[in-house]
Order: sequence, then structure tokens, then C-alpha cells
Amino acid sequence: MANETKSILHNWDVRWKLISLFIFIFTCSAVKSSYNYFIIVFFIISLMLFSKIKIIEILKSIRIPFMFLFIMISILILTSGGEIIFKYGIFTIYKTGIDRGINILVKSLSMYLIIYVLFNTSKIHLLMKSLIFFKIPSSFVLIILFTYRYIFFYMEDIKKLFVSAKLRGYSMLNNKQSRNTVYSMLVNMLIRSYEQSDRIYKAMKLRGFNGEFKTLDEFKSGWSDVLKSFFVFSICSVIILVELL
Amino acid sequence: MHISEGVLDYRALIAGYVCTIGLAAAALKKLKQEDIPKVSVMGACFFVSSLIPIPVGISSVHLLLFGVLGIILGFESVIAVITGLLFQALMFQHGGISVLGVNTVIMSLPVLFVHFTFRTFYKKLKNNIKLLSIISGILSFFAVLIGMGLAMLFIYFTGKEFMGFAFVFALSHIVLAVIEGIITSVIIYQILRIKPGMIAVQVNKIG
Repeated sequence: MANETKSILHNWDVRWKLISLFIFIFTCSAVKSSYNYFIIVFFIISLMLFSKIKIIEILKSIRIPFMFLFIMISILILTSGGEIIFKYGIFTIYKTGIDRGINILVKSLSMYLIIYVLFNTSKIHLLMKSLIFFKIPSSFVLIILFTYRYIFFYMEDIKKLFVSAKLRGYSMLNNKQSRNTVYSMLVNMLIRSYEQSDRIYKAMKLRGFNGEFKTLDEFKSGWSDVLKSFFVFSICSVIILVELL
Repeated sequence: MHISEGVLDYRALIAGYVCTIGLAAAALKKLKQEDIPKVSVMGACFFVSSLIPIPVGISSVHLLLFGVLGIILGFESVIAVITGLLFQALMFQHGGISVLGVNTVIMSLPVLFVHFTFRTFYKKLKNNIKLLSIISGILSFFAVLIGMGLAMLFIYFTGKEFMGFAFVFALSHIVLAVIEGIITSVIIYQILRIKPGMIAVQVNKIG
């Protein structure tokens, strides 16, 4: 997740970063005023610039969420009801739809970009350790960590299964044979993963697993971390103030 | 079946997180140490399985696997749902972190519905594989409808301007519910035939 680049966001203590950015996300979710859009967009752009993550990578990553948002907002503009601003045949564009669409677009993309920056400037095991610090049960944190590891394992596995199926003549067609091949793959993978989980537990137990999350990395917290968080909390306070006024 | 970031207001998000904390606490209480790798590995497997495209008509669909998840993982499936949604939000930008609580409720409750209902039927019809697989398919069909209903409820309370969108959302999920029911039925039939222990372990759990 985190790359090797060093920036003030990479150096920010993960516990402070996690709590500050999550508070910002939840503050964003309450935004209705259009003045706040400028504050949020300014904050997100600053965050991306300070993170030193390549802009092209960020733009690539927002393609999929943007596509989903585009479909959703298009339907919303055409179906929301309220004040009509344009009408042609059965197509009607509503002002309420446009307003809500802009609101969703700003909030959704900002929340996504915050999470993107958070996970690209933090090491996964330190993030997990900070979850333990915030009293999230160890068993839950371990499940998140193991799931993360095995998702990639099974993605490789399914790619291999598809290659072997294609070599035997499988194609993505809507016929009984193609569907049966996919069903067999699914059942095969589920049964194998079930059997594998038993073996994994035995292997972990032999290596001294006791259900606790352990890592050698330690947190390093200083005044600069507190200042960075204070800056984020100040922006959150401004957003709340603008909403209340 | 995800609600995107930015759609719901903060009251719905808080309600979603409160319900999710309750569900997760109950599931973690039931979770034994030896179940940690099973929930993780099976959770990852379900996550990847839902990425497999199933050919339907001129297009393809991605499954939710509510039925299979509830039947195989039981109550612990709530944890697999949370981790699955978390990684979908982080890796593929489906859903999001602020709506994680709401999306967990939308997906966990149908999964638990399948788990508890199927368990009752399994105890009575243990040896009738065909009938059990048909029941699993029907339950899966209803599970998707329940999830869809819950999503629409959250959308309705957020704002009436979303109802047009919710209607389009509902129509697409009725088709998915039928496909999901058929495929769950086939998968459960195969599992009951090849490795019935996978299902019996969850069904025979106390509580």
C-alpha cells in the first residue's frame, strides 16, 4: 500500500493521521453548503500535493468511482423531481437533481481521495497496530490482515483456473457448458479454501499463534504530528461553522 | 448492492455504524481462535468469487453470494461481510468508508436471514440434498430482495429526490435475485454432494 516516497504525510504518525482523516471524512458527510465545497476541494488538493503521490496515479484510480457516480448522478438529474430547468420530450432536467448531484460528487470523490492518500502514505501493519491502539479487537484486526493477504492469493488462483479452462476450450458464452465451467470453478475454489483454512490454522498454531496481533514496528509520535492533526481539526471546525451560519 | 459515498446524510451513517458495531460485537463474541483463519480465508475466497463474471444473456453479472456465505460461515459471516466491503471500498472503490456501516447492515441482515432459516430446514431435511439446494436458492432470492429493500429504506429516509434512482436500482436487483437464487442452488447442491461437512459444521453450532 504505502510507497517508499517520504513526505510530511508519510512521516505523520499513523494513529494521528487515522483519527484526523476519519474525523474529516465524517465532517464531509454532513456538508450541505456550497461554500464548503471550496474548502473541501482546497484541502483535498493540498493533501494530494503534500503526499507526493503521482497525480496520474490518483487520476487513474478515480476512473471507476467516477464512472459509477456519473451513472448515478445522471439518473438523479432526470428523476429527482422539483424545479424544472430544461424539458425535451420525455427528458426533464431538474434543479434539485443537479444540486444533489454536485453535492454527492464533491463529497464522494473527496472521501475516496482521503482514503486513497491515507492508505498510500501508511504501512498496512502500522495501520493495523493503530486499530489495536483504538481498542479494535485483535481477532478482527487479524482477520482484516489475513483477508488482505489471501485476496491476492485467490486472485492469482482464479486467474490460473481461467487460463486452464480457456486452454480446454472455455469461452465467455451464454451456454450451458460455459456456465457449468464457472460453477465448477466456484465450488472447487470454495471447497479448497475451506480445506486450506484448517491447514493454515494448524500451521499457525505450531508457530505459536495465540490470537494476538504482533509487529516489531513502533509508533513515533511528536509535536509535528499533533500540529498536523490540529490543522485538520481546524478545517473541520471551519466547515461545521459554515454549515451552522 | 452498495450505497456510494456522499449519498446518505450523517444521521444514516451514524445509525449504520451503530448497528454494525452491535452485529460485529455479537459475531466476534461467537468467534473462536481456530475460526480466525477460516473466516479470513473463506472471506477472501468469497470476495474473489464475487469478481468472477457469470455469462447471462449478452452480458455477464457478478454475484453477491449472500446465500452461500450465510450457509457456510454462519453468524461469523458478518465479519467476512465487513472485511469484504472494506476491501471493495479500498481496492475497487465500490461503496466507501463512511458508508461501510450502512452497507454492512444492508448485506449482513440478508446473510443472517439465510443462515438461520437454512439451519432450521437442514435439521429437518438432512438427507434430501435436492430439496435443500432448492431451498437455499429460494432463500438466496429473498436475501437479495431483503438487501435491496434495506438499501431503498436508507435511500428513502435520506431524500425523496432519490426515489427515481432507487426504482432503477430495485429493477436491476430483481433480475440479479433470480440469477443469484439459481446459482446458489447449484453451488449448495455440489457442496452437499462433495463435502457436506462444510455446511454441517455451521448448522450444528449451538446458538
